[in-house]
Amino acid sequence: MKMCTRNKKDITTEYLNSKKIDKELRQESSTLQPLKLLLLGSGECGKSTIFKQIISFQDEATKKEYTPPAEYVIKNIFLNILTATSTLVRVAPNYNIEFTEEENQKIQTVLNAFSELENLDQTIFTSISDNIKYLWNSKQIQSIYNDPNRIYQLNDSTEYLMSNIDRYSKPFKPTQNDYLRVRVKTTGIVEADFKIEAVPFKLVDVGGQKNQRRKWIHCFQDITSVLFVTSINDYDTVLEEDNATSRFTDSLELFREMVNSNWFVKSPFVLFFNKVDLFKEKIKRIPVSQHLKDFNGNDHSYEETSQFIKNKFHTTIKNSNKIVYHHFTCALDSHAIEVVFNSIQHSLLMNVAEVL
Amino acid sequence: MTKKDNNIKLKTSNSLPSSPNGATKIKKSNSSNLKKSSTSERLNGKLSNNSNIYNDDIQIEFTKDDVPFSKQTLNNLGLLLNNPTTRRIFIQFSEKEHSHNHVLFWQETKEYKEKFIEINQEQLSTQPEQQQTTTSTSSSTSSLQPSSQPQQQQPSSSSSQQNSTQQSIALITDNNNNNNNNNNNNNNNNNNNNNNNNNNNYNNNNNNNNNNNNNNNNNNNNNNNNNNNNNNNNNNNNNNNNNNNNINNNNNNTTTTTTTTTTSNKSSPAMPSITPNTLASDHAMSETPQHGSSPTSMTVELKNQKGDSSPGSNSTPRVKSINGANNINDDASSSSSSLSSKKENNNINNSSSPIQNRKITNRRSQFLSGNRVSRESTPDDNTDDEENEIAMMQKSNLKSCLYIFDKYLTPSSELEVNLDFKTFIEIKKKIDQNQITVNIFEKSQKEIQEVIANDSYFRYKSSTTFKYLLNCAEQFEKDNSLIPTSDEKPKLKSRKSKFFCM
Repeated sequence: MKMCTRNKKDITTEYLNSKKIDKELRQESSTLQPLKLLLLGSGECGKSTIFKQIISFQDEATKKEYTPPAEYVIKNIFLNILTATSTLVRVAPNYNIEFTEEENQKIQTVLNAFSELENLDQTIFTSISDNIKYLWNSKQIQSIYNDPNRIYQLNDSTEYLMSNIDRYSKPFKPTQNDYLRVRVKTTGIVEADFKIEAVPFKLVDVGGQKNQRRKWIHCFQDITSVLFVTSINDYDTVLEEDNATSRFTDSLELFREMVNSNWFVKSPFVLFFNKVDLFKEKIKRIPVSQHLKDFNGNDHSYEETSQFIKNKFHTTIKNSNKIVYHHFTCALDSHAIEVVFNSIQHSLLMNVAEVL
Repeated sequence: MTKKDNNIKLKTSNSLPSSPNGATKIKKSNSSNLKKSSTSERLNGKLSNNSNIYNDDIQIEFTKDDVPFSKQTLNNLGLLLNNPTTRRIFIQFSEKEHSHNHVLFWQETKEYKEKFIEINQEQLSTQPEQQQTTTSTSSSTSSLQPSSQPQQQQPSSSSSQQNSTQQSIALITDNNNNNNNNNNNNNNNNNNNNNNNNNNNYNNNNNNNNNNNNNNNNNNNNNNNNNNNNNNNNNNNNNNNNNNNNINNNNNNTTTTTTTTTTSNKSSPAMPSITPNTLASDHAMSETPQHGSSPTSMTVELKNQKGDSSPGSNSTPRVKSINGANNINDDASSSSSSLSSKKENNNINNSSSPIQNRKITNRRSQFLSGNRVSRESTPDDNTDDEENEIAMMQKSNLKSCLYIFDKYLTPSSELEVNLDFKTFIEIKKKIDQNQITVNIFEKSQKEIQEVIANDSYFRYKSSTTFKYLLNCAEQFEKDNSLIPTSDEKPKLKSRKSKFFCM
C-alpha cells in the first residue's frame, strides 16, 4: 500500500511537473515569435551572399538544409563564366575591338556552348575552358573589361571565376568561396528558419530587381529588423533592368522608401554598405565625383568617399528617432560578416529583452 | 523518357479513351479536383488512402486526370514543366515563395505557341515563308480538320474516298494534288512530303477510330450535323470521328458527309480560302489542349519527342491499322484504342511539327467562329469573310500576345517576371512593329526556364513536397500493374461525370 501511494504520488508530481513545463513551453512559443530578419536591397547588391553567410554560421543541420548541392553550384559557375565571356565578346564591336580569325573561331565555340545551356556540363566546359581562358587573357577582352566606361552588365565575381578557370576545367569540388561568389538571380521570397541559443530566427531573402520588388509586400509583416544591403561599389553603374537608371540613385530611393515605410516604423534598420573591397579598388580608377556630382572631397580617399555615401543614405531618414545601424562590409569576408551579424544579433536580443 | 514512363502514360490514356470530358480540367485544379475527389478515385489504391497530405503546407491531391510522372520527369525541369500534373504542383509550391509567376509565364508562353494561328497567303510576301505557311495550312487541313479534308477531296476525287480504306496512298496523292491547287502554290514539292506523312497518319487514325467508335459516331455526328464545328464540347475523339465518317463513306452516316460537303463546296470556290473551314475546325482542335483535357491530349505533349524522333513508326503502324480497320469490328478493343490514341498523337505531332500548331486564340473567339461557320454554309461572300478571318486571326494572335505581355512583362504588372532587359526590349519592339510571330516569346521562355532552374527549382528539389513526389513516382512504377484493375472504376465513373458535364 505504501509503495502504491508513494508511486502514485511520484507520478502525480511528475505529471504535474511535466504539465507545468508543457504549459510554459506553450506560453513561451506563443510569446516568442521568431525574430524575422528581412534582407532588402536592389539587384546584385549581395543580399543572397549575406544570406548564405548567415546560414553558414549556423549549425550543421541548418547549413545542410539551405545549402545547394555541389552540382548545382558547379553548373552555375559554368553558367556565370559563359555568360560573362559571351557578354564581353558581344560588346566588343561597341568598343571598336576586333578579333583575329583564330580568336573568332574560339569565340564561336564558346557561343555555341552558350546557346545550348541545357547541355552544359563538365565535359563541355572542359572542352572550351582553354578557349575561354585564352580569350579572357587576350588584350582585347582585357581592354574591354578595364574600360572605365562600362556599357554592359557583368557580375562582380567575373574576375575571380576567370582566375580560377584552371581549377574548374577539371572535375572539381566547389569551395565555400566559389559558392559565395557564384551569382544566381533570386526569384521570389526565400525563407530560412534557424535557432540561435534557442531563439528562433527567420531570415528572409528576396529578389532585388525592380520587377521582384512588388513581391516584397508579402513578407513585410512582423519584421523584427530590416537588413538593407546596398552595393557601395555601384556608384558608376546602371541597373541591369533598364540599362539606364543609376544603381546608386535606385538604391538610395529604395532605401528612402523602405526606411520611411509604415511597415517598418518599429523595426530597426541595419544598413550594409557592401562590396567595400571592390569600392576601394574602384575609387582609384573611377573618381566618385564624376558620378556623384555633389561630392567635392578627395576622390581617392576611401574615408571621405564612403562617409559621403553614408551621409547620403542617412539624410533620407525622416524619422530622427529611427534606429539605423550601418556597417561597411564585404559580404565575402566570412569573419567580418560573422562579427557584424553577432553584433546585430546582440542588439536585437537586447531589444527583445526590453520589450519583455 | 523511359519506356516505363511511356507505358504508364499509354495505360492511362487507354483507360479513358471514351471520356474526353470526364478527363478535363487539369489546370482548373482546385475546385474541380476537390469535387471530383469525392466521387472519383485516385491513381492507385495506396494514394487514395492518403488523400490529403500536407507537404510544405501544400495539399497534394491526385485525381485520375493527373498524368503519371517518373523520377526522371521530376529531376528534369523541362520534363517537369511539360507534365501538367507536376507543373501544377510546382506552381502550388512556388506560390508559397511567390515565384510562381515564372512558372505561370512559362506555361502561358507554351500555350501561346499552341494557340498561335499561323496566317497564310497573300500577306506574306517572301517565297519561303509562303511555302512554310502552306505547309502548315495543308498539313493541318489534311490531318486535323474534319471539314477541310473533304473540302479538298470532294471536288475532284470523291471516288477515291470510297476506296480510301484500302488505298490510302492513292488518297494521299489526291490530297496532295488538291492541296497544291487549293493553295495556289505549285512549287511546294517539299511540302508534299510533309503532307504525305500527315495524311498517312490521318488515315490511320480514321480507320482505328471508326472501328472503335462506330456506335458513338452515329450519335455524335447526328448531334453535330447542324453545326459541323460545334465540337467545342467534344474534343479530339469526336472530332476525329467526324473525319472518319466524312472520308469513309462506306462505314457510316452519309448525312454527315453531305453536310460537310455542302459546307466545303460553298467555301471551296474561293480557292485560297481554306481559312474559314480550317479555322473553324481549328477551334475544335484547340479545345483539346486548352482545356488541358483528355488524357490523350496530355500524352500528346509528352510524346512529342517520341513521335518526332521515330518517323519510321509512321509507316509501320499504318499498315497495321489498315488491317485493323478491316478486321476489327465495333467492339472497341483496348489494344486498337491504344493504337489509335497513339496515332492521334503522332498525327498531331506531325501536323504541328512543320510549323507550330495553328490554333485559335481565345475561347470567346472559338465560340464566335463556331457560329460564324454555321452561317458560312449559307452565304456566298467568301472573300470578305476570308479577309475578316485573316484580320480576326491577326487580332487574336495580337490579343493573346498582348495578354502575356501585360500580365508578365509590363514593368508594373502584378506577375512581372525577372526577364533580362534586352529580351524585354526585343519583344516590345516586335509588338510595336506588329510582328507577332509564334516565336516571339521563345527566347524569354528559355530565359525564364533558366531562372527557374537556377533558383526556385533548386529549392523545390530540396523540399519535402519534392521528396513526396519522388515517392509517388516510385510507387507508381511499382504499382504499374495495378492500373488495369483499377481502370474499371474510372471508366464507369468518368462516363458519369461526363454526363454531369453535359
